[in-house]
Amino acid sequence: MILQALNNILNEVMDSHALIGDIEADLPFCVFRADTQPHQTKDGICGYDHIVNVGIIDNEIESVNTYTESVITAMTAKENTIISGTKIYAVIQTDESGIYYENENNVYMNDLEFKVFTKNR
Amino acid sequence: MSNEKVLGFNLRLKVATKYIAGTTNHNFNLEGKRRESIMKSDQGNKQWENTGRIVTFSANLYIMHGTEDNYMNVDDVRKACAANTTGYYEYGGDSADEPLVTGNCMFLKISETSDSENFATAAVDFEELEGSGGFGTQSGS
Repeated sequence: MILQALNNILNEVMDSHALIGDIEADLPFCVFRADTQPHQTKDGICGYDHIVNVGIIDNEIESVNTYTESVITAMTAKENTIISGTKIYAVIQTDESGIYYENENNVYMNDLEFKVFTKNR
Repeated sequence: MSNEKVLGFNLRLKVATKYIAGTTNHNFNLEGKRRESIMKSDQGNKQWENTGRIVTFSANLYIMHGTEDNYMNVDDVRKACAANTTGYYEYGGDSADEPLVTGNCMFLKISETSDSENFATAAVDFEELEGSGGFGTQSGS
């Protein structure tokens, strides 16, 4: 399943949590979610696109920058691998918000977006 | 049996006994072929007669590699288009007694799209050979 696979990939870089509710975590950490789109042919599903958003959070801008590079490297290095039963064809980075300061919680954040192509969910 | 809507994925195209792998969509066009004439004896009313039919169709698909029984992959389709291969086709439902359009068709062309961040897709165009067409019903189940 894609969420478990993402958790395994991102946990190699930093503490990661699926964004499915409120979380309490120690800095630094990242949160992720996947918006899944199946590819239907007339014979059934032949693959999936996942729009994956990863939010990197820490209290130092340099640290967020370093983690950003590590997360991008870890994600894009997973082409043609099977992780937690999910066969990943390719990972493409499609967007980045840029590092910004989140006033309410006094943290720096960076939001990354990837397109992940998989054979199964 | 009452009238029932037909789901799009239940209408399939089979060419030379094979499906095209990765097909997502078919566009099927059937038009009567007319010849018009007018003679003085028609008193100003144009006449027409049906002289057959024109059938063109296309399939949109994900480009698929690999081999699977009863399926043409993109390599097979490219070669068939390059050679304008002809073959028997059936278009319609897979279930027994479902209506079919049949005939012999020619592979005309394949147009492929491969961008930087999506699965590669293609469109394949076909044309029915004149005078080869018919209608039938699906015999298999």
